[in-house]
Amino acid sequence: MNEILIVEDDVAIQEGLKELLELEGYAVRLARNGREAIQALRADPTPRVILLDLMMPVMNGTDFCRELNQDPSLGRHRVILMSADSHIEEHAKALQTHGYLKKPLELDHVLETLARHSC
Amino acid sequence: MEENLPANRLPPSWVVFAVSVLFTSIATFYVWSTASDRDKRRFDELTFKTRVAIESRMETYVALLRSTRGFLASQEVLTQDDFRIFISRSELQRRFPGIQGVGFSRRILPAQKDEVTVFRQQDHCPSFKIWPEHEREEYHAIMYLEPMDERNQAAIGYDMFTNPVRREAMARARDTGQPAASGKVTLVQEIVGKVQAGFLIYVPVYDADPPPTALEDRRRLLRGFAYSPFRADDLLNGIFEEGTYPELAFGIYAGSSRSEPDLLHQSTGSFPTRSRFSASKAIEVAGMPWTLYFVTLPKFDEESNLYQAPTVAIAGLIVSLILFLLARSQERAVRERARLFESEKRAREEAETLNRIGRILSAELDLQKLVQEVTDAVAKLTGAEFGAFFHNAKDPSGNSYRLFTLSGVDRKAIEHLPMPRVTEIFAPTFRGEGPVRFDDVTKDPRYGKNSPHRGLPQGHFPVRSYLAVPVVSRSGEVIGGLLFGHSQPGRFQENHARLASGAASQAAIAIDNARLFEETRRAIRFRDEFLSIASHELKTPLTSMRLQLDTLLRAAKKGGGDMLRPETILRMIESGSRQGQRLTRLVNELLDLSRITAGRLQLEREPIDLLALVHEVVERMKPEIAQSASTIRVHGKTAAVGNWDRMRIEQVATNLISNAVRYGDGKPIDVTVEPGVDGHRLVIRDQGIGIPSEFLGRLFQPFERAAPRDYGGLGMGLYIVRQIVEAHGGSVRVESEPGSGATFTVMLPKEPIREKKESLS
Repeated sequence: MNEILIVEDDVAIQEGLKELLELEGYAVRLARNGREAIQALRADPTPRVILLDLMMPVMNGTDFCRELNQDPSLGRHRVILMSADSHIEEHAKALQTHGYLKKPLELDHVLETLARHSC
Repeated sequence: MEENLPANRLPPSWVVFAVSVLFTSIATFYVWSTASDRDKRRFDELTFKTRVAIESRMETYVALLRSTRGFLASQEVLTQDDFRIFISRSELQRRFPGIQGVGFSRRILPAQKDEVTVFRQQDHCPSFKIWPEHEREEYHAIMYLEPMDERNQAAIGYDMFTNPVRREAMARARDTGQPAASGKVTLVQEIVGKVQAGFLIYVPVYDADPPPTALEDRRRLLRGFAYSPFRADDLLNGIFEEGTYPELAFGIYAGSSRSEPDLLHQSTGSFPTRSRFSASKAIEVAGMPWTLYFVTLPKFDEESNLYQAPTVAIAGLIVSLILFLLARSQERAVRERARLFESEKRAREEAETLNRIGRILSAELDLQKLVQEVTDAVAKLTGAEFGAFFHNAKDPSGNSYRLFTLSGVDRKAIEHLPMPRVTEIFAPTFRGEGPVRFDDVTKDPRYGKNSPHRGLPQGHFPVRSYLAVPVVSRSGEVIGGLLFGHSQPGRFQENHARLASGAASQAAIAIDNARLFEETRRAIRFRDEFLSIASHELKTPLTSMRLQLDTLLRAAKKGGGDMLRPETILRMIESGSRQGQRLTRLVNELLDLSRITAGRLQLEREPIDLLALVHEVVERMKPEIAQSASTIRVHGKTAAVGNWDRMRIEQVATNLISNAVRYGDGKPIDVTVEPGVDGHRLVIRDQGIGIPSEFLGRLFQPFERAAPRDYGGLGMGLYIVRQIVEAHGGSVRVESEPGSGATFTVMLPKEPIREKKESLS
């Protein structure tokens, strides 16, 4: 499970993460918001790690998690929440994600977390 | 005070009056009927006495005649002297007042006529003759008549048997052997003075002892008659002395009916035309039927108790009236006392209520709940059917006040109704003038003067009584008005207005406090939110910059150029640089904001073509636009030049176009520049998600955004746009419907307006 889906509206962060993770040997797919992510999972529900931003237009992280949990056909995934929100820990708990990353992202922390959740 | 006088009960004073009038009526009736009975009895008694007096007197006369007959029967030969002596012994004048005399009429057969005449002529009466003188079967001459006065002298020798009235009585006496009275006659004695009616009573004298019983014998053996002539007036005057019965008048008729020709005597000149009582009584006098007729005289009525009835009635009514007035004044006193008690109680209650309201209000900081408390409390106290607090905030048309709280009516019931408008009825309250109170608002000349409703709008619950007080804050601002209504007229009194005003002042203080609290709380909330947004916005570019740098660093540590292709490195550096610019923009925006809020926005005006400026901005934004699916079309043919601050106007255009791209939902965006005479118009129209109507009003306020926070940005953009446009003397407005996009229109005057300051304060 070294394929990663990045759900992030900010293009710069998207690209930065993509470059980094590809360097580390992950296969990276991108989605600009929750809606695009759902569409991507519907096309291919293979289990993977999802890096999920909380605040996004069209469909935010909270709504995405809700839909993901309600629809088993979307597959079982490990979700890591990303946010600059100071209350990210509470959000992660509420959404029952597998982990969280506080923005601005620390490279070591990102890689370590991903390593833990990938096989 | 209707609560003191239940409508279904008569006031006691009227009961007192009614009962006492009833007693008066009963007493009056009793007095009247008693007096009536008494008068009837009195009349009966008087008539009885009169009748008895007449009858008994006549009995006496008959007795006298009987004794005279006895005397006559005992005399073989009778002379005038014998008769005079006998009569004088009977003390006629003293014992039998009213009698004209007592006489002896002798039956004379034709053969005896001369002998008797001579005998009598020799017996003190030389001129004696029997008259009238014509020949007949038998003669009846008056032989003696005592007292022998001038009047009686005239009757001597008269043959009464020649007169039909007398003969009838004489024949009856002869045939029955009983005394017999005649009908009405004029006596032959009537030779002087006033002629009176008269009658006679005959008692037969027979030449046999005891008197014969057979009719034949009686006729054959008749010697003559002891008789008495009566002058009726003299007789009755003798029986009834002057003034014996002044209350009564009577008439005596010698017959069985009351017929004028038979009238013997009348006690007064004429009978009164009206009298209380009258009665006829039949009696018998010596075998002759008489009729007595009685009538009462005015004197009788004077003796009557009947007049007491009206006196009792009047006195009773006066007493009733006095009792009524006393009862009523008592009632008034009781009522007055109750009223005083009531008003004192009310004053106390008012004070307590205001205290209570004050306590509740001072503890309440939630504005909505607080105003609801006030509205409810005052509505309850004034007995209003509905109460409402209207904010002194006018709708965009400036015509209506905004409903804030409602009491007594379901909000749904009036939701469909228009809000009260700035009419002459409402306006004084919202100008902060004193309480407005109408007993019947529909009767006020100012009512119904305003189109379109002309009174209450259709479907409004009926309002007659109306009370409104302004709610004025410490600073003198009219916060709003408390309005109360009732469907019945005359429900609100002076004290209600006082109470409402008192509550309004309490409410004003509480509302001031609550608003202050609310403002503070909102400021804190805004600050927190702003900090959260600002931190998110600042951290996003930082995040990507750090990622790029960390990646480069890691790659460099691992083995430098082998790890990364040159174009990748270039892209990462470019990206990092863009994030740097983005941070700069954010920081500038924050600085603008701080300048604007501090009032230090300086404009550097220069001639600018708006159309050209828009094209430049769109060109510069190409990368951003390209990221979205939207396309931008710029419309405008001629230059639209104005004297503006280039950087600021660019900021406005960038901001609005950036918004359109962000919320445009990938649909086409139209930017139009419309040149005008005094100023130019910039219209930016997207077809995206649109703006909910509730946000439209405060879209240009700081920290406000219609979109969820998930759309990036500080939420200050439109606020800054408005500040810049207004600093240029222009205006910005928005029209939108959710789902079908938004249109922002900026109006910029070509030249600065002199009067307006160019810097914001």
